[in-house]
Amino acid sequence: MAEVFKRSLEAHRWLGLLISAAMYLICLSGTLLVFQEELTRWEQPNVTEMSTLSAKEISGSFNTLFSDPALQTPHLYVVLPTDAMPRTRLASETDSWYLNADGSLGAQEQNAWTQMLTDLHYYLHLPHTFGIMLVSACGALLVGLIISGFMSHPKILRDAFKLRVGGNRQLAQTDIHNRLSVWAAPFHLMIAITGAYFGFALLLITVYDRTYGANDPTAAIDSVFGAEPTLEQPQGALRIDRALTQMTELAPDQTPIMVIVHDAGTPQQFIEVLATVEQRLIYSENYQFDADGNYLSKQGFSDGDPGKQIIYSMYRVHFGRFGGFPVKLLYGLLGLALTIVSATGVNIWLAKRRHRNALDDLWAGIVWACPPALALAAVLTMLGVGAAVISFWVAYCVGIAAALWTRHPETARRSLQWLTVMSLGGLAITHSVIFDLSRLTLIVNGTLLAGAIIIAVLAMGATRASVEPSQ
Amino acid sequence: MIFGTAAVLVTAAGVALIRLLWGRQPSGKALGLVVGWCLVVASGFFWAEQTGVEYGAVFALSVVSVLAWLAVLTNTRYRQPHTRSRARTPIAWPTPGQSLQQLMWFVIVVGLCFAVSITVLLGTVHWLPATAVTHMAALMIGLPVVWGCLAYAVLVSRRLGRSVLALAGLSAVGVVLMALG
Repeated sequence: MAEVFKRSLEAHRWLGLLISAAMYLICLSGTLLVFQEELTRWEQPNVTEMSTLSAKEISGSFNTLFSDPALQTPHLYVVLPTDAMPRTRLASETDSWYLNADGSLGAQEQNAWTQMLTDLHYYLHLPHTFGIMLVSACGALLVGLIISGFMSHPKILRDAFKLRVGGNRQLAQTDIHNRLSVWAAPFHLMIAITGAYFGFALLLITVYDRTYGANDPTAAIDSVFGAEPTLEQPQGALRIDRALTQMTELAPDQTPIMVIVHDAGTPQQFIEVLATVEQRLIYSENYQFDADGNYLSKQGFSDGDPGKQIIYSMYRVHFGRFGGFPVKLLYGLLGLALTIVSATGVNIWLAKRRHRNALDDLWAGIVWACPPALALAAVLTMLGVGAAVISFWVAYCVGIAAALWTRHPETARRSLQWLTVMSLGGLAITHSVIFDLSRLTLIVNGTLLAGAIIIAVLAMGATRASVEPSQ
Repeated sequence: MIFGTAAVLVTAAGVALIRLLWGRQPSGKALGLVVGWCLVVASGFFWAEQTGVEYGAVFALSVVSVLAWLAVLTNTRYRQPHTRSRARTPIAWPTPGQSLQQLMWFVIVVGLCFAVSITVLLGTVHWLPATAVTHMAALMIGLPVVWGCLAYAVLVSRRLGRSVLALAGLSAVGVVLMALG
C-alpha cells in the first residue's frame, strides 16, 4: 500500500506540474468571472439601468438600428434586463449597444477588460479552437489530480481538520493545499467535469454521430442544441414585440432573458426567445417565432430528453449563474480555494527540494505577477491606453522577468505582493476619479481595497518571516 | 427561508459533530461520525425543499465545504515562521533521454488516454437504455472522468510498455463494443 501512495504522489506531482501555470490562470480568471455581470457593470458604470423595458420600445429600437444593412450579421441579439444585469442591450456578432430607459439607443458597450478576462478563462488568449480544447483538457486532468491527490496522502482524512500555519513553509503550504482541496473536492470535481464539456462537446457529438448516426454532424448538433425552423417569408420589420408579448401566455412562470434573431435579413429569419425556468439549472427554455412574431415551437430544454437537459445545464453549473448573489459568493470562495490549491501545489514541490534555483523565482513570478498585471490592464483599459490583452501580457511578462531578475523567490514574492497592493489601490482610485460613484462601484472598489489590505497583510507576514532567524 | 435556515443549521451541526469526534479514540466515535455525516447528507433534503432539487444539490455540495473550512480554522496552530536556507544551484536541465521519456509520458497521458477514453466511452454509452442525445450527454460527462482515471492509472504504473499495452487492450474492448452496438 505504501508503494501505491508513493507512486500516486509521483503521479500527482507529474500531473500538477504539467498543468500548473495554465491551471492557475484558468482558476484565477474563473474565480473573477463568477462576478462577470458585476464587473461588466463596474467597467462601464455610466449606463442606464432598468428592471424592465417595454417590448414595443425594444422592438422599435431593434428595427431602427438594424435597418442599416452594414450593422447586420447572421445573428442579432437583444439582451434583456435581469436582477444581476439590469441593462437592456442590442448586439450584433461584432458590436453592442445599451438602450436608454425610453428605449432610445444609448452608449456602445465597452467591456474590453472583462472580455479579456473571459478570453483568458476560455482560451488562455490562444487561437480559440486550440485554446478551448487546452483549457478543457486541463479540466479532465484536474479529475486525475483530484483522484491522485486522495490516493497519495495516507493521512489526508486523518488530518482533515488540522491546519498548521507559520513555522515550516513546506508544512504550512501542505496543510493549506490539503485542507482546501479535500473539503472542496466534490465541488472541484463538478467544476472539472463541466469545464471539460465546453471544449469537447461538438467534437464528441460529431464522433458519436460518425459512429452510430447518419454521418450528418449538423443534424446531430441540432438534436442536442435544437433545430432551426424552415421558413420562407417576405422581408420586413421583425415583430420582436409580438414574440415577447406572447411569452406571458406561453410561459407565465418563466422569465425572458434574451432574444436571438437567426439568419437575420434573409427570408429564413426567425426569432428565438430564451427564458429562464425557476429552480432549474438549464440555461433557458427557447421559444421560436417567425419574423412576424407568430409562435412556432419550443426547443424542449426544460422537459425534453434528459440528455438535452443535462447538456443545457452545464453552463450555469460551471459558472454559478443561478440562485443569485449567495451562489456567486459560494462559487467565488470555492474558486479562490482552487486557485490557492493550484499555487500551493507547486509551492510544496519547490519547498521539498533541498536547493533553490530559477524555477522558484519563475513560479513566484507566475503566481504573484498575475494580479497586478490584471489590475494594470484594467487601469490602462479604463484610461483608453492600449488593448487589454496586450497590456495584461506585457505587464505579466515584465513581472515574471523581474521575479527571475531578483534571483530570490521571497523577495520577488514580497515585491510583487506590494505591487499588487498598489495596483489594486490604484485601480480603485482611478475608477473612482473617472466615473461617478454608485452603490455597485462603491462595492467593487471597496472589495478591491479590501483585497489590497489582505495582500498587504500577507506581504507584511512574508517580510517578518524573512527577517526571522532560521531555526 | 425556513428550509434554507434549517439546511445551514443541519449542515453546521453535522460538520461540528464530525469535527468534535475527528481524531478521538474509537470508543463511541464511529456512531457519532455516522450521525454527523447523516446530518450533512440530510441537509440536501432541506436545500431541495428551499431551492428545488437541482439548486439544492449544488448548495449541499458547496456549503459543506465552506463550513468544514470554518471548522478547520478552529483547529489552526500558529507557529513562529521560519525559513530553511537552501543553497542556490543552476537549473539541472534534463538530458535528451530524460526529455524524450517525459515527452512519451506526455503523449500517453494527454494524447493516448484521451483517444482511448473516447473509444471506451463510445463503446459503452451506446449500451445504456437511453436516447442518442442522452448517450452524447453521458459521453460528455464521462470523458473527463475516464480520461482523468486513465491518466492516473498510467502514471501510477510508471511502465511505458505495459501502459501502452493496457490502453491498447481497453481500446480493443471499446471497438468490440462499438461493433456489437
